[in-house]
Amino acid sequence: MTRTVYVFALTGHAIPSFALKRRRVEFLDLRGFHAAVERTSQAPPVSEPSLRTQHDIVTRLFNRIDAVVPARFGALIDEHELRDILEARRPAIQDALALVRGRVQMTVRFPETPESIPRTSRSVPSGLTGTAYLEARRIASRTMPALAGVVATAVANLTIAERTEPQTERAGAVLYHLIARGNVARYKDVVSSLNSAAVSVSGPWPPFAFAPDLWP
Amino acid sequence: MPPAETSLADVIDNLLNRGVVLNADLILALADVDLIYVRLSALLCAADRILPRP
Repeated sequence: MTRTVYVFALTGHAIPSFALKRRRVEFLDLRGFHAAVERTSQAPPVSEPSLRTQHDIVTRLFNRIDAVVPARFGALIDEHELRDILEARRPAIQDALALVRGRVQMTVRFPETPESIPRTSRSVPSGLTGTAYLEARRIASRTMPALAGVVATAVANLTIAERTEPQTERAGAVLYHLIARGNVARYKDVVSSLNSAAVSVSGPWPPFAFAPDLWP
Repeated sequence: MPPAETSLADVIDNLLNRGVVLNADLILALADVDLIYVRLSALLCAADRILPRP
């Protein structure tokens, strides 16, 4: 008989089961770490209420457990398959849990600034081979604004890890920083001191952007 | 830990774009061109059972 679970996060340890908005969260012991799951046969619908509920559940886990690696939305999976995947990727998961333990994610968003993208990098020349064309198109569509470098430098002494999401033709660039839980106020003060109204800081968040890539 | 003000943009970015991918029903794409659909979780489990353990 297939038993499916919906995964909210991988955690360093378990806490007592709890319910939030009719979602019951329990923990699977995976020898050295745990998975916070709901036993269910259906993934939640992609709607604002269900997204907010999952976000609230992950945040509750994050507030009660010092090492949490959130799962991406939609992780409905057979329990045996989940155990196989996590066993095969055990070192990467343990490294990720060690990285995020006692730390939080801060998110810095930058406005879309087409003028900051060099004109030469936005155009893709014709007459290229297929590979060269795709690579040129990738480079032309992604860039980080200069202001991101200013922010990264200003908070460098607070930053344990950094991820970047370069600007695209559809959205502004984003910086994700992993910092110690006790440094949130200092981090916000430093970014505020830059006096850039264009920069938006949010957090502390569970470390969504610092999840390991299990599929090389 | 004080709660962060949760905008819908942050919720969507955190949950849909970030987080560990466990059941990777994936469309491999390059430069916005969708190339191939792969169910990676099934692929990994199968490889784990077929390949000899180190």
